[in-house]
Amino acid sequence: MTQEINLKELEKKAYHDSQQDGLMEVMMGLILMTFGGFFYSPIFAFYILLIIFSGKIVEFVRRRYTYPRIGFVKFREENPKEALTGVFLFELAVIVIIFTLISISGDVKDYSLWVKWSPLFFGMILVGPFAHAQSRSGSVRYTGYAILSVILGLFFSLIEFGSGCTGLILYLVLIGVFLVLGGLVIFIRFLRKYPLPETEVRDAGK
Amino acid sequence: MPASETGGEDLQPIAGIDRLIHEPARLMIMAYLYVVESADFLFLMRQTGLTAGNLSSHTSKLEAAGYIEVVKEFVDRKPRTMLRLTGAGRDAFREYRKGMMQVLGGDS
Repeated sequence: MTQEINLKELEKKAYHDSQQDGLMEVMMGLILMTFGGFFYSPIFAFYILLIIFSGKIVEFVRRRYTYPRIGFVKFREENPKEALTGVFLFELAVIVIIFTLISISGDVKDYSLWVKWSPLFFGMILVGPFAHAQSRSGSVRYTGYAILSVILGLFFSLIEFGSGCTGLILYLVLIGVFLVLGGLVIFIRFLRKYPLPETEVRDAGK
Repeated sequence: MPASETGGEDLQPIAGIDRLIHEPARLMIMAYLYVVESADFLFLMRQTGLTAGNLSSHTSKLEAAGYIEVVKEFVDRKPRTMLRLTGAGRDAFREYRKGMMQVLGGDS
C-alpha cells in the first residue's frame, strides 16, 4: 500500500485479462481467410458479413463462455480523434514504404508489381491493429503476431508465383489459419484455466 | 505523539487520508473501478482475488459512502450487476492518491 498504484498498468492488466479468451484472434483469422478466399473466388464475399457482424458474433460466444468464467467489464472509450489520427498516419507510412519499394524495383504504373508486393502491404497493414492491441493489453503475443504478419508478407512477396494473386491468397489464408488455430488453443486453455464457478457469483450480496 | 517541527508537517496529510479507501481490499476495488467504466462482481472478484463474501462486504461499505453505485441490468434475460464509481467516488480516489503521493512521493 506504500507503493504508488500504477493506474496505467492496472488498466492494461484489466484489458489483458478481458481478452484472454483468444476469440478476437479466431475472428480476425476467419476474416483474413475468407478475404483471401475472395481473391480466389467471389463466392467468399461473405467475409463482408463477417466483418459487419464480427463484434456481435464474438459477443454472443463471450456471453456463453467467457463472461460466466471471468466476469464482464466495460472500458472507457478511447478518444476517437487520437485513434484515427494514429491509424491514418500509420497507414500513410505503409503506403509510402510500399510505393518506395515498387519505385525501386520497377515502374509504379506496373500493376503486377503492386500485386507482387500486396502480401507485404497487407502484412504491414496488420501491424496497426496488433500494435494497438499490444499497447492496450501489454500482451507480448500481439507483438509476435505483428512480426509474423510482416515476415510472412515479405516471404510471399519475394516468392515468384507466376501469375495472379496466388501469393496474396496464400498469405491471407495462411496467416488466417495461424490466427484461428492460435486463438482456438488460447480459448481451450482459457476454458481449462477458468472452470465455471460452482455457484452463481453475480450479485454483490443484494 | 509529539510532532517534531519538520516531521509533523511532512506527515500531516496522513491525518486527512480517507480511511474508507485506505483499507487494502477497498483500495484495490476503487483502483480497478477507477480505470474502467464499470465491471461486474465476478470480474472484480477475479481481479482483486477477494472472496465473494469479502468483496460483497467491502462494496457495501463503499456503496453506503456513495463512492460506488450498483446498477442491475438484464442481458439475455439474466441479471447482471455492474459496479462503477460515482463522481464522488472518483473525486475521493483522486484526493486519496494525491494525499498519498504527497506523503510518499519524496526520496526513494
